[in-house]
Amino acid sequence: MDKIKTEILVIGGGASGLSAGISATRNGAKVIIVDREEKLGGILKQCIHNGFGLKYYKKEMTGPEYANNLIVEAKSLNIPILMQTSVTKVTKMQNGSFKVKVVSPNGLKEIIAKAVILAMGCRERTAASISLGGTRPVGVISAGSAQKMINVYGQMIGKNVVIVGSGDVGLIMARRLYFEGANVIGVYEINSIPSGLNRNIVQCLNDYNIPLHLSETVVEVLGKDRVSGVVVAKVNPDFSFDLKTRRVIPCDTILLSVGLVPETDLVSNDIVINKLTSGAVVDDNYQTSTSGLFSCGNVLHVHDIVDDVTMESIDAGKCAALFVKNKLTEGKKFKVLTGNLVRYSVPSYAEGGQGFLNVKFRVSGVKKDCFITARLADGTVIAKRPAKIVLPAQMEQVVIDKSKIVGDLTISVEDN
Amino acid sequence: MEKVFDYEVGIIGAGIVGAFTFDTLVTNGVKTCLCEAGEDVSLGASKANSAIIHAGYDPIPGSNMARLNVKGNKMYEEVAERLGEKLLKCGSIVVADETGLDGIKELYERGLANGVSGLKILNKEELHALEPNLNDNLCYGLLAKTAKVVSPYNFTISLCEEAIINGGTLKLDYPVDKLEFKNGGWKVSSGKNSFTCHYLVNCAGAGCDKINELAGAEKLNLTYTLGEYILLDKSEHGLVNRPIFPMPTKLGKGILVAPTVAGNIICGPTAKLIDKYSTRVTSEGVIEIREKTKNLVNGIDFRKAIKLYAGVRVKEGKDFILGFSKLVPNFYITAGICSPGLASAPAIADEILQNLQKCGVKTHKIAIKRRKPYINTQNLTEEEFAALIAKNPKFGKLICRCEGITEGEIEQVLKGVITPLTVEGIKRRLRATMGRCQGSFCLPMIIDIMAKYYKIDPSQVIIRGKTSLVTSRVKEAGIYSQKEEEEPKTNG
Repeated sequence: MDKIKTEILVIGGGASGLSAGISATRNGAKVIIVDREEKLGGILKQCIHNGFGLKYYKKEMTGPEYANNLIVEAKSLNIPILMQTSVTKVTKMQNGSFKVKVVSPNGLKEIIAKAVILAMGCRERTAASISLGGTRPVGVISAGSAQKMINVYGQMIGKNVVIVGSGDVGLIMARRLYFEGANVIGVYEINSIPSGLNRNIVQCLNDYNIPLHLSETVVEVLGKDRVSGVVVAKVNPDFSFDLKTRRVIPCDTILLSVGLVPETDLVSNDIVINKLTSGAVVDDNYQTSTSGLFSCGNVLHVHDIVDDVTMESIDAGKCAALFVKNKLTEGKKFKVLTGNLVRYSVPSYAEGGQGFLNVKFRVSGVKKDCFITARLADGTVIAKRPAKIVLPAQMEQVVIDKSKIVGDLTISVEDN
Repeated sequence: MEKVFDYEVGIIGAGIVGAFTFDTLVTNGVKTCLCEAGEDVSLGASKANSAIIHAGYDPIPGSNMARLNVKGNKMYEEVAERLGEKLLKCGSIVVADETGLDGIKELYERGLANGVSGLKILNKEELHALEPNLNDNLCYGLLAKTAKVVSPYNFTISLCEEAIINGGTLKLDYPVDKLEFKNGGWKVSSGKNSFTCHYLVNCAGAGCDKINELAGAEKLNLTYTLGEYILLDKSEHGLVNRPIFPMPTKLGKGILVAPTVAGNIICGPTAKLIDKYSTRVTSEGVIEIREKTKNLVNGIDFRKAIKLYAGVRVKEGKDFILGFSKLVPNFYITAGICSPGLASAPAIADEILQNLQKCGVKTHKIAIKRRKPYINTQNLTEEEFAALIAKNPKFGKLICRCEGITEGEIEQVLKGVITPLTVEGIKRRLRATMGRCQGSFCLPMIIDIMAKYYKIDPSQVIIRGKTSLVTSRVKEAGIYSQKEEEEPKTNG
């Protein structure tokens, strides 16, 4: 079996993996990127809509254009990239290095790396994860699969479409299907507020008169061969279904946009997983509970916009590069805890010192005109910023001066 | 002169009973034709059940069910070995709380009466040592060491393939619409097509009443009991080591928690009497499974559910209906083959063979040509895997990431003995799309592979039955096309 040695192996060649690989290379490390597909870019390849890059590149691009920027940069740095290469096993060896087994049409290989960056992205939740019952006809498809079918393979997947869930991919696909001549009957969201970004509600639904039904969801799939319809019902505040409001909506296709889950399965038995994100528990260096194993992008926690993925992965790549040069300073780590209205935060651990710590988090409910704070256990505020509104659909960030981190800290949303 | 028939025996219905009968007859030198209404074998109850080869303590002593279950159970291991099919020799446990010892003893006695070996009554300590995740209220168990877990649809497929390799004929897409007894044999018609056979066996499962009616045989009064299931991700592997049953009731064996051969966990089935055949999963059923399994096993994480499905137990009275029709000649009926039908199927087939021999059907054991099991790259050593990829690089191209299925494996199945013409045919043979993402990553790729392999448009790639997912091509120039922006079309 072929054996390859490198300092850093990046698993995944999408936005996160490319960004981390570029960053690690620029910081002096020897990097290899592996990706299972034929072309780099990950999910960006199928995201042919615009709106990418405004934050990081200060320029509006489509997904493939955004990916291309990263690909060009990675190639200019001569980063070795193994395509159609799937990782089957990651093992930490006695000497601290990692043994990574991969398979590709060229055969089996073993890659020995001092550090590994996980950048595998996420997968879509399924019909079973929302307990969607009924029959199992052809025509129930996840929004991302539909996006790939239409944008990569050029295949339409239905004519009269109901969308379950108002996740961003579903919203984008509502518009995409409309452009391709489908009748998008409506988007049904179990929650009382949308799951996707407001800009997507406006630009993908409102602009095309596609109705969004909040607190109403699909409770049953109908149809024998092809989908013939759905039963929808209003949802009570306790998330039970108001069965009196049941009605049948004829359709031939059901798109599921009911959330994304980090695809950590490759290592989920070997590292500590955050049950709320399904991603790894990491410290402020994006290092997981296994020393030398880093995680960033959507495999760490699901992001709203790719620019944030890139920026996070640049940080992770830099940390991994410092790690392999034995220059990653690791002082006493303090806990980063979740306070009022904060559902989860990343990272889970941080240390004091120089520079800034960027904590990303999501809230569990809507709040207007509030403050986002980071406090030490004794109540000392070490970071505070006002927010006009916080929403579960939107990832929030708070920047903390690391010199002030002298103990465990709690991120909260507080009243004005 | 004796009339020459196309086949000595015809079988209608390619479920597990039809498949065992087909294979048993063919390997005993009987010229046999199996016809099936669907586009593949194993499309009915044989693809949606608990996948357990029951030990045989449950059926009433003296019944067909008791006799055939115990006999069939003993036959499975040899067949699995020959076909290269997975079989978990894990045993099963019926569990009971502190009030349930009498019930456990009754089952134990019934098992002995039925001739079941390997039964043992467990006390609380023994029970929880074998199954650490059981609910603490459970105090007694009946361990049945001979119970096994298989993949029923893979067995059905493999049996049919073995029969075909050894000279049997399979006719798919052959919904029988006319049966005529002529010249001492049966003419079996489907539209314009027909074949003749000396003897005819009805293994039509949920359709056995209609086949009896077409033949003019006994009227069957079928009842349908819906059984809903929740399938959990392989991450839950090890939650239980063997099927865990509650105490059986009149309605059935109850809602169980069991491992599958692939390493998943199934929870179910419910038991709801329904008017007509339907595999609709109800929200009430899902709730019932969640509630009842709590009494069996601690810490079942239903957030790890990857699929909800349902099957139907088709019953005729309380026992299997088996034997020659008394109304029409040369017509053998198998009806109401509900649980323990899977366990009983090889014994049912064996009895059919014996009954046909008694009627004068000539048989001789043939030297069975072994079926070559499909390569599963997950089961190969590194050396074997590397050698395979060197020979055919497509075996190094992973398509279904959750189940580790490569393009090479998909192509080998497309070249298989029974060519799957549907995505679900590939799924049943390989498990592609059956993992935690349920095909959200690989389904578009599989459709593409099939379109290229069969040289058809993706809109002609069938998912199941006659239905495709793709409805049309995307418009030539999409709204995002750069080209269109640069050179705007002016239509008038």
